[in-house]
Amino acid sequence: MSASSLNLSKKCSSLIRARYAIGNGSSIIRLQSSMTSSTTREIWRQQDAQDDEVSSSVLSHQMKKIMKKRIANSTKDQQHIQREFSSVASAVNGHSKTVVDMSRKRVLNQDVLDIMNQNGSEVTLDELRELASQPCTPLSLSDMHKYASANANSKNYFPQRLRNAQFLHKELPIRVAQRAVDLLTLPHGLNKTAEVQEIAHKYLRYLKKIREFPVPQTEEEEYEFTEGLKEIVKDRKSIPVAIAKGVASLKDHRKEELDIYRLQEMEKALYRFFNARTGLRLLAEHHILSCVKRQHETNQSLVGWEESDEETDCLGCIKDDCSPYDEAKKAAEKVMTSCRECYGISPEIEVLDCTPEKYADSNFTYVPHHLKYILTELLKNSCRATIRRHMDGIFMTEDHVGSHNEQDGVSTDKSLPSVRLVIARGAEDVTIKIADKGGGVARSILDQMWTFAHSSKSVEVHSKENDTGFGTDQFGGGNVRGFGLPLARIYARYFGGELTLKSMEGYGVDAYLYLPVLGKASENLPKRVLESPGNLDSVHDGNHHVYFGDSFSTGFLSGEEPWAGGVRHYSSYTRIPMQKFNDIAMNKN
Amino acid sequence: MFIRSTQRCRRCLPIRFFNSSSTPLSLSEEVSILVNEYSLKPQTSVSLQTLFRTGRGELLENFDRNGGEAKSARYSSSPEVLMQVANFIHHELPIRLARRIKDLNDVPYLSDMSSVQAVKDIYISSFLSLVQEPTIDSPVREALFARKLELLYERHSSVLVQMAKGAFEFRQMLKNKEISSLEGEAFELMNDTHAFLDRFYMSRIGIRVLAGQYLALREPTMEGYIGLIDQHTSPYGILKKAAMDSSYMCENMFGSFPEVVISGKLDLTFPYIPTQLHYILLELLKNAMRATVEYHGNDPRMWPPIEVVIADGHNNEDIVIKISDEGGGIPRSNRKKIWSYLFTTVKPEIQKALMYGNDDELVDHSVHAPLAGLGYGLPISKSYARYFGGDLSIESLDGYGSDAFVHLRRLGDSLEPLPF
Repeated sequence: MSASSLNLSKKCSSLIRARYAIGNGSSIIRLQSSMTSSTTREIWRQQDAQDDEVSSSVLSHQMKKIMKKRIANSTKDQQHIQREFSSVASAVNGHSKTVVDMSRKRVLNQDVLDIMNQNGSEVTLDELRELASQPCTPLSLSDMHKYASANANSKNYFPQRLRNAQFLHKELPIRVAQRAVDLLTLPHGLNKTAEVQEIAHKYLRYLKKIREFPVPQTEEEEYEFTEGLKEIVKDRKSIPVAIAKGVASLKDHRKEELDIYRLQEMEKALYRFFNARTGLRLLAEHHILSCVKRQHETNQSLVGWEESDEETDCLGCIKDDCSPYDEAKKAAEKVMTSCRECYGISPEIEVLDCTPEKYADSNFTYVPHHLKYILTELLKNSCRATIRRHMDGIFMTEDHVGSHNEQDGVSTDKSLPSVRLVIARGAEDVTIKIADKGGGVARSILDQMWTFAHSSKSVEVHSKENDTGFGTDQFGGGNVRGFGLPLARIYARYFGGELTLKSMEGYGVDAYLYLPVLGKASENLPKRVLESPGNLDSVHDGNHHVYFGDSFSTGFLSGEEPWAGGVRHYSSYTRIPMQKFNDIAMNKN
Repeated sequence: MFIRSTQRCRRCLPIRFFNSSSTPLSLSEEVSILVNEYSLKPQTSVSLQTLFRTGRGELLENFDRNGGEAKSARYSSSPEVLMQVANFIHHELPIRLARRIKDLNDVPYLSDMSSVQAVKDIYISSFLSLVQEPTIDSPVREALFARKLELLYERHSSVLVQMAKGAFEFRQMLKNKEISSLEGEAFELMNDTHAFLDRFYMSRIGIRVLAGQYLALREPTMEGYIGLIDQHTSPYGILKKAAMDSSYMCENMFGSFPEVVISGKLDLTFPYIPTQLHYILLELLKNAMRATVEYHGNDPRMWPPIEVVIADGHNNEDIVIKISDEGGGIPRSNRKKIWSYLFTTVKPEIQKALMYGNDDELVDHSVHAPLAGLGYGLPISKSYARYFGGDLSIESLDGYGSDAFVHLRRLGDSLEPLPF
C-alpha cells in the first residue's frame, strides 16, 4: 500500500466506522465498525467469489460511492455519516434496491402531476413540497394531556385552548401534506392504484380546508376551526380500508409475486404512513374532544365520551387515570359477544389484575381507545385460534393439564380452553399478557403476521367469519384482513411501548403488550418524519426503529440484542436452507 | 510491502492493519501471514443432521478416500467414519481458529487485557499445531490426531473464564476511567464489545461441538447416541434432571426450593445434544427459582410453583419449552442488560472470587456454572439455543413474573451460524 492510500485509510478510519460482515449461508450483510481499503478489496474479492452476486454488487457499489464521498467531504460530522451508513446497511440488509429510494423524487413529480390534472389542483405542487419538507414537532403524551386538562372555568383555559388551536393550525397542514406525499410515493405501483390516489386527493382537500381557516384569534374562530377538524377526523374508516384494497388489488393483478425486497419496501412505507397518521389523528382528536361543551352546544356526539362506543366519532383522547383492567374487561366482553355471534360459542376470557400492592394506585396516562383497539385485536385472534383448533378436531385433551371434558362432537363452553389476560403494573410500565391455547403458529410464519400485506394463505379463511363482524377488522367494512396486528403494534409503539407475540407451536400463542407508565416518551414519529421529512431518504427500518427520548430501541424489547441493530451480524437460523452450503458441507467430508 | 501501524495509532484508530506486525506480543510475521491466509478461506457450516449422519457413516460415499465401498450402516464408528470426520476437522478447525485469532487481535481495548492475550496465545498454539499436521490417511495417523485434539480440547476449556476475566478487567478499567478518549464512544464501544463476545462465544461453541463430537465418536457408543447427539433426547427427561439439579443448588443456598410443575407433551423426543439442552434449562430454572425465592421472601409456603410447558404439534418446525415463574418480573431498564456479558446482579466480590478463585483448576464454566455468578448464563444459553437454529427469549411482566421461551428446531436441519 502506498502512502496516499494510507492517508486515505487514516481519514476513512477516523471518520467512518464500517466493518463488513459476511455471513456464510445467508444473504444478510451488515456494515459495522472500521475498515481499510485493502481489507475492503480483499473482502470484496472473497465476496465476489461466493454466490451472492447481487448483494456484493449492490454493496460494493454503495461502498465505492461512500468512499468517494468520504474523500470529498472529510469535514462532514460523524452523525450524518452514521446515518448514511445505516441507510446503506438497512438498504443492503433488506436487499432493497436503493435506486428506488433515490428516485422517489421523480416518482413524486409524475404522480402528483397526474392527480393535479385529473381533479383540478387545490394545492400546487410547490406548496405541497414546501409544506412536506418542514419538520414536525413531536409532542409527548404528558404534554398533550396538559393542554387539555385545565379546568374549564379557570382563567387559563381559553388562552391555552387558543394556543393549542394555533399550534394545530400550523402543525396539521405539515403533517397532512407529508401524509399526502407519503401516499403519492408509495413504492411499486401502490401509489398508482385508484384507491390510493383517491385518498391522496382527499388529503389534499383536507389540506386546503385547514389552510382556508384563518389562524384562530378569537373564541369563535377557534370554535369554527374545531368544527372543521371534526369533519376531517370523523372519517376513520375509509383510509385504511382503501389502502388495504389497494394492497390487495396489487397482489391480485400482478402476474408475478412481488418479490421479497419490494414487499419489504412497501411494508416500510406503509408502516411509516400509518405511524404518522396515528399522530396526526391523535393531535386533532385530542383537541376536539378536550373542548368543554358550551351551553348552546347540542352536539350529541361529544356527550360522555368516556363511554363512547367505536361507532361514534372522536375517540383518540388521553385519559389521566386510564385503568387497564377496565379497558380489558370491556374489550373482553365485546369480543366474547361477537365471537358467540359468529361461531355460536366463545372461549372464556379471564381478566386478572396481578399488580402488586405498591403500584396498585399509581396513575396510568394513556389513550384508552388505542388500548382497547390493541386488546380487542389480540383477543379476537386468540378466540379465533382457539375455536379453530377446537373445530378442526385436533384438540387433544392430553395436551393440557387439568383436561376438560369433551364429548364427541358436542362442544360446550367448558371444553374450550380459556384465554387468560393478565395485567401487571410495575415500577416502569404496565404489561398485559394474553395467553391462549389455540395451537400456535410456526415461528417462520410469525414474522409474516406483522406485515401489512400478508395474505391469508397460511391461515384458512373461514367464510362464516367474513359474513359476521368477527372476520373484519376494527375498522369495519369489507374484508380488511391483515391490518389489525401491524396497526396494533404501531399503536403500542407510538408512545414508547411494544407488542410482542411468542408462539408455542402446537400449544398456543402468548402476546405481550408493554406500555410505559410515565408518559414521558416523545411521540413516536418515524425518524424520517422527525428529522427531515422532505428528504425522502430511507433511514427508517419499519421493524426495528430507534427513536429519540428513550434509550430502548423497540426491536430490543422483543429479545433482539441491542448491538445487532435488529439484524444478526452472522448467519442465524436459516429458515430457507442454503442448499449449496449443505452440499459443500457434504462434499468436504 | 507492509505497513507498520504505530503504537499511538492503536488507541485512536480502531483498525488493525493485519499484514503488519502490529501486535508485538504474540505474532511473528510468518504466523500472522499464515493466520491471515487461513482466515480468508470460507468456513463450512454443518447442521445437526450432517453431524449424526456422518457419525452413522451415511455420508461416506462422498468421501474421497473410500469410494463407497466401506459404507457402513452400523451405529458404531468405523475407522473410515473417524478418518472422514478427522479430515474435516483438520480442514475446518484452523480456519475457524484463524478467524478468532484475527478477531481477538483486532478488537479495540479488549485486546489489551492480559487475559484476552492469554486466550489469544492458546488459540495461536492450537492453530499452529493443527496446521502442521499432515492429512490423515491411516488409522494410526487418525489416532495421533485424536490425541492432539484431546489436548487441544482440554487446553481450551478455561477460555470461557479467561474471557470473562478479560471482560471484567475491561469493565473495571472503564469504571476507573483508565481508558481515555472514550466519552463520545462509550455506548458504541459497549455494543462493539458485546458483538465481539457474542461472535467469540458462538464460534467457540462451534469449535467445541465439532471437536467434542469427533472425540465422542471414538468412545464406545451409548444406546441411541451418535457421539454427543442423542437421537431420542427427551425434553421431559432433561427437564426433570435440570429441575433436580437446580433444586439442589437452591436448597443449598436458601434452605428450600419452589416446586417445578411440568406439563405438555411429555413423551416427545427429537435428536439433540443433551448436555447443551441441560445447560440452557438449568440456567433458566436457576433464574426462575432465585427470582421466586428472592421476591416472595423466606417462607417456602408462599413460593408459587414454576410452571413448565413442553409444546409440540405433529409436524412442527419447533419444539417450544416455556418456563414461567412468578418471581416479580424484570423491570424495563434491566431487560436489555440480562443478555449482556458484562452484567450480573451478583455482588462484585462474589464475582471476583468465582473468576480468580479457580486459577488452579481448569473449570469450564460453560459446563458447570454456579447458581449466580459471572452473568454469563443467559447469553451463553442463548448462543447454545441459536446454535442449532433455535432461539431463547424472555418476556417479563414487571411486578408479576417472567416467561422464558426456548425454541428448538425439531428436525435438526439448520446450519450452524458462523460469525465472520
